[in-house]
Amino acid sequence: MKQLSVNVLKEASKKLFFAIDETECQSLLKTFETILQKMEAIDQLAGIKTALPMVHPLDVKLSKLRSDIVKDVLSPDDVLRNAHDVVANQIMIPKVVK
Amino acid sequence: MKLNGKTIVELHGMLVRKEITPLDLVQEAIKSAKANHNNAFELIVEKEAIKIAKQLTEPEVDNYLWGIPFVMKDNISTKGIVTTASSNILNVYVPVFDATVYRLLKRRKAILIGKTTMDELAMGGYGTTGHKGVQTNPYDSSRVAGGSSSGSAIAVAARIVPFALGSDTGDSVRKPAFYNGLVGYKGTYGAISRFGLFAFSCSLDHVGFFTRSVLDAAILFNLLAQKDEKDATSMKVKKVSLDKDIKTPTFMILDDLISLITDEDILKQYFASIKKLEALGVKVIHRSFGIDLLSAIYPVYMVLSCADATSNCAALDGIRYGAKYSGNTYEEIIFAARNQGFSSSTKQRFVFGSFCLMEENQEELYLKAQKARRLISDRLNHLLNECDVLYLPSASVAPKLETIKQPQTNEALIVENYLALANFNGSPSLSLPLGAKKGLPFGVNLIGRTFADEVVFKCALLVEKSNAFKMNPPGEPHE
Amino acid sequence: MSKYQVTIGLEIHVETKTKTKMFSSAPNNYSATPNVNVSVVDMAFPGVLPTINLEAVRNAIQLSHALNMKIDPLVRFDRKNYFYSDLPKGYQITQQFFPIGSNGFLDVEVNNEIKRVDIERLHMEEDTAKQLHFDDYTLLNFNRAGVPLVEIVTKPCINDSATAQEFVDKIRETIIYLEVGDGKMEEGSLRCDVNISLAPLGQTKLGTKVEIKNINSLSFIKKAIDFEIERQSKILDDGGLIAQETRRYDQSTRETVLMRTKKDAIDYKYFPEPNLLPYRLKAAFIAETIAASKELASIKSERYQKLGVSKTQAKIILRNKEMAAYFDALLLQTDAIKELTNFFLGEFLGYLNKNNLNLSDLEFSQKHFASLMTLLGKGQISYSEAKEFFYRLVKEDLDPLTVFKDKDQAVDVLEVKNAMREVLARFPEETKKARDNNMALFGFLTGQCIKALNGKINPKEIAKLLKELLEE
Repeated sequence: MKQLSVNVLKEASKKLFFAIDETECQSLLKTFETILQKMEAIDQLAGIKTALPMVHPLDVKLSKLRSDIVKDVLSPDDVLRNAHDVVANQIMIPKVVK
Repeated sequence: MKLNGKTIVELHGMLVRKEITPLDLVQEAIKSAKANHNNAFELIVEKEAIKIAKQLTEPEVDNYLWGIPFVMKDNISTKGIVTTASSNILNVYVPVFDATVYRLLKRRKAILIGKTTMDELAMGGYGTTGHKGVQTNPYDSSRVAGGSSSGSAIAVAARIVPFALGSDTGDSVRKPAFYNGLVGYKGTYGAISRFGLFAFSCSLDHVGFFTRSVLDAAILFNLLAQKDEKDATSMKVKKVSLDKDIKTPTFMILDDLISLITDEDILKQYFASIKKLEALGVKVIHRSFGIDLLSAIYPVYMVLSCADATSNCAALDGIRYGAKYSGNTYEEIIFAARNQGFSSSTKQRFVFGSFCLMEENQEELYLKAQKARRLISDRLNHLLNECDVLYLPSASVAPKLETIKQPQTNEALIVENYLALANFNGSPSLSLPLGAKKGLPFGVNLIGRTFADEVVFKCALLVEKSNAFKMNPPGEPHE
Repeated sequence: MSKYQVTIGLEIHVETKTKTKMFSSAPNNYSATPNVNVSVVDMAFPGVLPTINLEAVRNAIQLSHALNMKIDPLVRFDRKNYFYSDLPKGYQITQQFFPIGSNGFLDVEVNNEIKRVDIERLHMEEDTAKQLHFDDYTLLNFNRAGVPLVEIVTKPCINDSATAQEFVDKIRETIIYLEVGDGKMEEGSLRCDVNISLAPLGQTKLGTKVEIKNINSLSFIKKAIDFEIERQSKILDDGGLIAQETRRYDQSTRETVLMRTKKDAIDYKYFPEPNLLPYRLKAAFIAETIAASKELASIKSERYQKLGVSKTQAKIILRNKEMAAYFDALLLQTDAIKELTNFFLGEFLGYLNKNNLNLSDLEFSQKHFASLMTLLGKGQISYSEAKEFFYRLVKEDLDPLTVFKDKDQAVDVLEVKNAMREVLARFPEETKKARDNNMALFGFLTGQCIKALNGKINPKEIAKLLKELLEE
């Protein structure tokens, strides 16, 4: 597992497109301390090694796939209603450098 | 007494007998919403509500929801009505579609009065992290309302509306129900469509609701539990029928969990309620869940919910919708939106969740949490096969605002987070008022087998009947 | 150049053909108008949920089957998390952990040699929004957001650029023949990423992998790989190390250009998609889907060859799917396969090419074309007559059966036979000998009959009837 540090947390926040300050890092490190310690204790649970990771709460399968029928199409107005800069019926953003 | 302090069933009777009109209810609701001092509202939709109320003139005898005012948590999508999930990043966001639950309520001519405040993006347990600040408890404004569906809980407790919709990922409806003397319900996972509910942690998220009675909750469940083709996890479930009482149901007490609860007054009331239930023929059995498994609930919940949340909220980037933030590059815009748009506690949850998902950490954190979730759910399902419901009390009354930042003991983490059990395995779960301590309500919770919503409602009716406790309306809030 | 062992793996993205998108019911079709094929799901508005398109799954099954892959009956999806301006949700729904297709192969022919390319996986996912770049801004169009994609990933088993190109071409052909997509590289409905590494000959461990992203034409695949082999060879020759990096092919400079280094590699934080429960494909559904597959070019080729069409001829016909379909339709209407094939590849294609026409430009009835071939096949008309008539056909759409009525089987066989009996009566000796299989006299008698009948019936038919008479 990755070693926790202020830098690791700051780097992680940068990748999530926001910044966290020193106080937030310290508070986070405390949260981590509590939770990671408890996560470690989970190793002691009987059967934890062989348990199947649980993704869905119920052990059920999807009963049907969606039929390929066009429905619920938005008007361009609705598509763009909440965008701030619209040019030629498209959302304008500063040039994306590939 | 306020009309909206009555139950849906009572109001329906009055409406049908034309003793009152929807407009009476709506006007009273709006007046008390405006007067509310607990910070329950993001938005009051006065004009629209009154317009609809005026159109409703002929009562529909077989439609309980006809003309009934209600509110919804602000993470439920409402077409044409700003919906922010109490996050700055969504300020000015006007959805172009209705959540399925809202569509169903509108179709039944229930009248939306407003959108309620909440913990930002439903992440929080007290109602303190949203962009409108702290929500306070209607029974004591120095205390929390409980989150994350804080505003919805307040609106029902403060007699503004007879019912409110919320969402429940860990306990966000059922816990505030404890703190506000209300019935709080979340059904079997998949029974009620999540389409239009802003995602926090998809496999734990449920739409839930607050009511004044078990019967009202069952009525809402029957209306909202409909298979929705827009939600691939939605499932057809049986309608609840409360015509016949349940005969000698089995209630289970988790001794190891109860032993960690320290509030003697609550425990006293709890055990007294068990006596009353036994007198009605309820069989009570005692089991232990396993302290090690109970201790795992909190960390597993945090790992899974934060990891999901960081992914679910990646769409909030300020480009397609939400508040406008500026930058010279698109990265700068996204950064500005997310940096200024999210609160500190939300950011911390995202970083935490992101760390759990990192390639080198997944095995130790995310995957392990998913495995532990399996063990906890298996244990719960196993116990539920021996009984009809788990019967467990709230651990405390609503805490003082200043105490919530203090670190919790291991024991407190267990007793304050056990309601998430029902989110782990998708069980139906209902909180209802049990009593009050110095004017502050506390409650009891029932968890039943998945798809056995009806059993939970029937057992809850027994509790309601035998306990016969009704919380008084809150007095005027302290200034 | 031969100092290094070249190892290439390909990742091919295919937009598949459906009415709606992968996870939403918005239309999946090209529109010149931006943001008209969009649903709330494609915009990733808060609260939306994905639903799986049945047709997209069928396409993936058919393609997996065509690529000889094992099909996983449990359909599961995962999230690939990353931020990008064209990715509305901030994650893409894909099949990281359990691809629908695995362990397949496709044989390609390069320089008359069959090479087997092993395919590791085929999975379903969704496309991103379209970005239109201008000098100082970019426009976002969500019509493409959520369009169904399949990604095909080969094993690192290709050793040269020609095989890589041929493989992609074969994939393109497969998509087109199955009708699961249009396979247009120029339009981006088929896109290719190349992974390439060089190692000293004899070394079993692969060299450092370099990825070339988003190549959008068949010829660029070869060019990009050749450039990259040369670039990496030079570095290795000079004793340098290859950096693990992602590059792109710049068509103007004909070079690959650095996009990002390994240091910037993204951790996609894959995890199972919680909004989609697993879906169990029933065996019968998989079987029905496969059975409903459109005929692949390779199967068509085999079928043609069984009918007597040569492999080379088949290859030419199958170069174009519409052409093959036209040919197939003709096959249903005439038994004169040999004549049809020759005429089709000669006169017919020649006519189209010379006049720069498409099949859709043709105005004559295919039935008339087929009848013409039948007449030719029966020898009722000569090749030059057929050819001549064909040029009338394209202009006037005449029915050859009407025009060549007198040459058709409508001729009274009894009458013809009686006339021929008269001829045989005139040459009793010759007739007797011809009965004893004297081929020269058989020819003589045929000639006499032709003369007597004065072109009323074609020579081939006369020979046939004569044989019958002699056997009486």
